[in-house]
Amino acid sequence: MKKTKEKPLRPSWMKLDSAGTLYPATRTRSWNATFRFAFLLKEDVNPALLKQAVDALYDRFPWLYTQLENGFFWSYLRPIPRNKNTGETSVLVCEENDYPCRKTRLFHTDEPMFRVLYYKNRLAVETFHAACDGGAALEYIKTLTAKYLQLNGVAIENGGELLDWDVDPSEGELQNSYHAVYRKNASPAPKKVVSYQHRPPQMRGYFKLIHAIIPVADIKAKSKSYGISITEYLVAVMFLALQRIPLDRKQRHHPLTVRVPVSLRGIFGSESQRNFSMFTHISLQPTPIRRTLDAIIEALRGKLQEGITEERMRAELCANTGLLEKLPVRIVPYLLKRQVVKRSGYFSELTSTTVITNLGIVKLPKSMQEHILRPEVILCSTPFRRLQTAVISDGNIINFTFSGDSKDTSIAKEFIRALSEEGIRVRVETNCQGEEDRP
Amino acid sequence: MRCNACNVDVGENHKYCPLCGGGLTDEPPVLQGLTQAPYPALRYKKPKPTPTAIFFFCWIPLVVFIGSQVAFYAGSHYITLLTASGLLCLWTAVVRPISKKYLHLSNFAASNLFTFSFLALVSSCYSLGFKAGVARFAGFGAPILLLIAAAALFSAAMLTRSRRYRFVSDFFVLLLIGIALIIFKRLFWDIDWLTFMPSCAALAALVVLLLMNPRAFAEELHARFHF
Repeated sequence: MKKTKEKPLRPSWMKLDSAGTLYPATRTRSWNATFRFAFLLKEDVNPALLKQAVDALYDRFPWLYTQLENGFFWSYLRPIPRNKNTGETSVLVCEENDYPCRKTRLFHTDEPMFRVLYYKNRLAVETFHAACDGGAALEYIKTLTAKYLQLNGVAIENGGELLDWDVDPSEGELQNSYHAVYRKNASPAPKKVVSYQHRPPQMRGYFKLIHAIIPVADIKAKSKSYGISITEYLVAVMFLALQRIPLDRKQRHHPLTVRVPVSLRGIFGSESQRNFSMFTHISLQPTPIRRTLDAIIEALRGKLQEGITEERMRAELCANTGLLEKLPVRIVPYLLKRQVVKRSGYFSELTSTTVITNLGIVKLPKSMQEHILRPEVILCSTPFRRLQTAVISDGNIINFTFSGDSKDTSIAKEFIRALSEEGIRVRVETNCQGEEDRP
Repeated sequence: MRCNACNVDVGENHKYCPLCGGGLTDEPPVLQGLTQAPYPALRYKKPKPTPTAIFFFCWIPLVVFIGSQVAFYAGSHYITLLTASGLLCLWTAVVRPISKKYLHLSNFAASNLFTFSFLALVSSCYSLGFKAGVARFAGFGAPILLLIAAAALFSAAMLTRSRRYRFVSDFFVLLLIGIALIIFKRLFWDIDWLTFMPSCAALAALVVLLLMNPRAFAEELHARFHF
């Protein structure tokens, strides 16, 4: 084992990162921002080995094996305890027997802010967003799956596409990168406006998934023919789908807006494994005559690229986290501050109609690829947004997931039909197959 | 299986199209070699609404307390203490375990000893007029209640080693309340030895914790009060 000689980074508590402060504040009684990453393996999951793998990564991911605590000015993270003799942790590893993305247990518990679930050949990790963002959670599940496969007798090369689990975490992985990027004199971010809200009837406690599995080759060829990236193409098709559903006349003046989360690690050269992402908003004003896909692509051309430039991202970041840096805000007790943060979080949700999170291609070592069928990513719906979408790919297929707490499938139906009309082959799967789930 | 209306492949197990709810045809899939993702078979059950009966039950001790103070106070601080202690026991033994299932209903304010102290003050003021009530409460009731709280917290800190330093912030709050009490009595009444007791107890508890492990103490303090 090549342990570094430096002092291990396991403080008795950790500050939340700048984005992480938002999620504990916006939670409600029945909801908190929990998302899921999963891998479909070729063989059924062995729970005992999975638990061993989870416990073995305790030292490598100190920011994840933590629980929230309330402080006077801010919430903070406290590491969960580990049995010194057996090395066992209190991470919940259990068989899936409920809908995905249930509320995570927070405060006054020794469980961390994530749980590991398995069901037949699926290995899933559900994480509360305050601990880390999608990019970091993806790194965790990749490492966990690799460790699990290694314990299962598969030869996996440590490092490379994976985080090296034998070394201690670096300071760069633990840092709050928002601080490093923040500038006092950054240019102002564009003003956000309230967007069209698609709100089908909510069913509390229900969670419907629709996976659209699309061959990468089909969608790549199509987007290339339009001269745009895959994400831009998917956003354009989403606008087409939004146009096709019957829109609420009362909201006809509001623009349709798709929010695209962007990982800032590549843009600012950070290796942070905590939250480090920002959103870009792409809007289109609905017109009385429905636009064709070509017209939408022309209207959107370049908008996404403009939205993810370094300058624009810095402006968004400074606008979102800048207030938290100011002394008068910092000295206000959290009890009062939480109410303001909560409402600003809710307002921020009203500025978009839906979300498309594109995690891109999951890069895995060859030895792992042989044991994995495909990745999955699922976002939970929020109190204001009934439908969320997320995209992940293994290089051969794209897994486009619609998720929400409503039976309504109108947007998913129009989106997938639009893809089919374009000549793209699509396969659809769902977690709700009973008669009572029929749309 | 395929849905020709949506022009999509559907897995082998579906009875209807997940998108449009329509029937499926038995045509071979266009995309070959994809494995169906397994999900547990679940039937949607509408969650039970928040049990309002339990919610009100949580507040019963407080209502009983206020009621008893208003009706039977008659200038006796023993009644205040007796009722507060009795209801606190009732809360700890009965209400809290029941409401634990509904964590959010076990409201912090309802289960807090200081709330009882505050209510004792309010009810005594109501019964005997502002000055008499405040004097009696500030002179005897409040310090005793705060002392009980300090003793309870200190015992808990000594008994649970893993969570010992999590009580640091509670002792600080006790200390602040104790100091506020001293200032209050200095302004309106004479200070006696009992007034100093809660502050002294909280301070002593803090010193004990500090001497036991100064580093853990400092870290806990920094964690709780970082800004």
